[in-house]
Amino acid sequence: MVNPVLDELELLETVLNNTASSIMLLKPVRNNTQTIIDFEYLFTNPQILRSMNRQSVAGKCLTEEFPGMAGSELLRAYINVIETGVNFQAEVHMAPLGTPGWAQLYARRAGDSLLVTYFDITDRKKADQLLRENEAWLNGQKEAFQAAMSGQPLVLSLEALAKTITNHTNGQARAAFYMVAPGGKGFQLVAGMPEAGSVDVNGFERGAGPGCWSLPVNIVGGPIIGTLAIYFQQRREPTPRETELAGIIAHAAAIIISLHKESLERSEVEAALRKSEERLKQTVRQKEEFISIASHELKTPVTSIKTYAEALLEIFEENSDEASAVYMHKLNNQVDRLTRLIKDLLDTSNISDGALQLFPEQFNLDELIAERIDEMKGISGIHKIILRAGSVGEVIADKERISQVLANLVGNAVKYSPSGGNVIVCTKGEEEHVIVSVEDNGIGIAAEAQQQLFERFFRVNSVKTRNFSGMGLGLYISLQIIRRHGGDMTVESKEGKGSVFSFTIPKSSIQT
Amino acid sequence: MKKIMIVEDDAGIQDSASLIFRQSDYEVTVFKDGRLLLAGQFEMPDIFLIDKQLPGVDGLELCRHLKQQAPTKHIPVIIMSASPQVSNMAAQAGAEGFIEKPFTIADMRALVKKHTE
Repeated sequence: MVNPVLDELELLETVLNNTASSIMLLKPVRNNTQTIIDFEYLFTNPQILRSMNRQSVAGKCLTEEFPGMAGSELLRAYINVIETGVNFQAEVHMAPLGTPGWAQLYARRAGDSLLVTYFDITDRKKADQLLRENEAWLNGQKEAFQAAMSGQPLVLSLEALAKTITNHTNGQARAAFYMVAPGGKGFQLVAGMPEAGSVDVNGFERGAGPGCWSLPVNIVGGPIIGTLAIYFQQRREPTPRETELAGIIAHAAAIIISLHKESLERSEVEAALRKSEERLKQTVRQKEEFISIASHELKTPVTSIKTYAEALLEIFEENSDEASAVYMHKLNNQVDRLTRLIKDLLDTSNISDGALQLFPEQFNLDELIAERIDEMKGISGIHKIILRAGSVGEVIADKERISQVLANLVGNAVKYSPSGGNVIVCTKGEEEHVIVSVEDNGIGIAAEAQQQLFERFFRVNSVKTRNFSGMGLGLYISLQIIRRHGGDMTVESKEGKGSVFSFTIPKSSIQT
Repeated sequence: MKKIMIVEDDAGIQDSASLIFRQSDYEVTVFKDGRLLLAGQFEMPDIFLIDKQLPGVDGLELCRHLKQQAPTKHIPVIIMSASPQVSNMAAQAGAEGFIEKPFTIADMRALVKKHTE
């Protein structure tokens, strides 16, 4: 009959003896004031004894075996775990424990004792350090990498890398690493190995080295980016240490190369992006400049056309040629329309250049709105423009620009209620703001179009709106003018019912 | 009869501007740039109408010059421009008035009348 308890103990022993980690159980040693001053070895697995280079430490104390532990930070950390019960985890330098190199160490309380496990991370540390140390080297190899990316063979000197690992000097090396990328061309890593002689990779390449051994170079989970070969001057197997070193170099090379390729590709993409962005900006600049110059130049002939038209209108009226006067009147209206379009284009171009200037002055907004509405009453025979004025009083704003916004909103209200009706302009004064709204009972705006309404060149596209011409600039310009005043503009609308556009401006946000 | 001096390089506007005052009590003289005015070789008008954008000397510069000279500094100057922003600059240059292009005949007549009465 098998004793199940014994079985489990055997199993545990097997695990402890065969794990790659070093494991030990330590019992605190206290002085007569109950202060922990040291630890006694209760249990050690074979790995820890090997790493400490001891046959047995049974019954011994930490500081007795390793005097470097006395007063060390590591000892203080161990004591802290016993006293607080808080686990300790760190990458520690193992010199105080008799081992060169680094370990990932865990310490936790197990009953009254301390369970310590650690595993060697020296190689990983070395690889990290290599990457750090070789950053400058890497930056110096940019051209070589660029050549390799366009298919040229690449020769990289890894002498510095190998030196870091092997601590050898040039004169001692007698083996070389040679790395080949898939397809035969590519990365050649030249480095020395810690035996006598000097490295001459060309010599090895020509076959002078009878011994060769290789391993793949790849990033974990990534493609193989090459093969790292070690050439020996004598036919022999690599030693375990050489295998280990080759592994580290291959790993470091893989990381360095892939990081570098990535950054190279990234900088290429970034450069291309910058270039196209610059080109785009230039195009936009040219376009804005064109609009600005063109609209300014257009105004000059329009000025004389308008004068001729008005003068002719006067002449026809003086001569009682009414039929001709009607046409002249129409011509005059079209010139005015053209003028408005040119002004809108110019405003839009100024807005995108940030050059829309305001000329604020103090004025009575009630009077201005009443005046402007009076002027606009003639624009339609089938609409009635009604003013419902709350007393707003004096404001500091750009009078011309506010008139422009009002004209745009009233113009739109008339335009988009083709069957006529009332256009109601409301004003309301609040403590620091004034609100102006323009309401119509026209065709309205679909909910999905409302959000884009204030965008440059936006036009509502539907069967109902097809018959309305325009550039889609009026609301954009109006919103920008209101925003420049420190205000905002909103719309409420229902399709088929009508729209209400409202703007709010501070009474005096702008300094005169 | 009041005298208007127009300084304007665009032939279309030179021609049409004189139409504005064709039946009034104004006599119109047109210069296509400001050089003769700088040299002082002209008959004193009652009002100057000066385009901002002129070849050679700029309209605003011309205005400043006229405002510095004893014989012309009391004569009103109206600056014309397609850019409304010029309005402020015109005032700074000492001009009495500003009119944005394109303008209406009525506005132009009113402005000139205002400064010549």
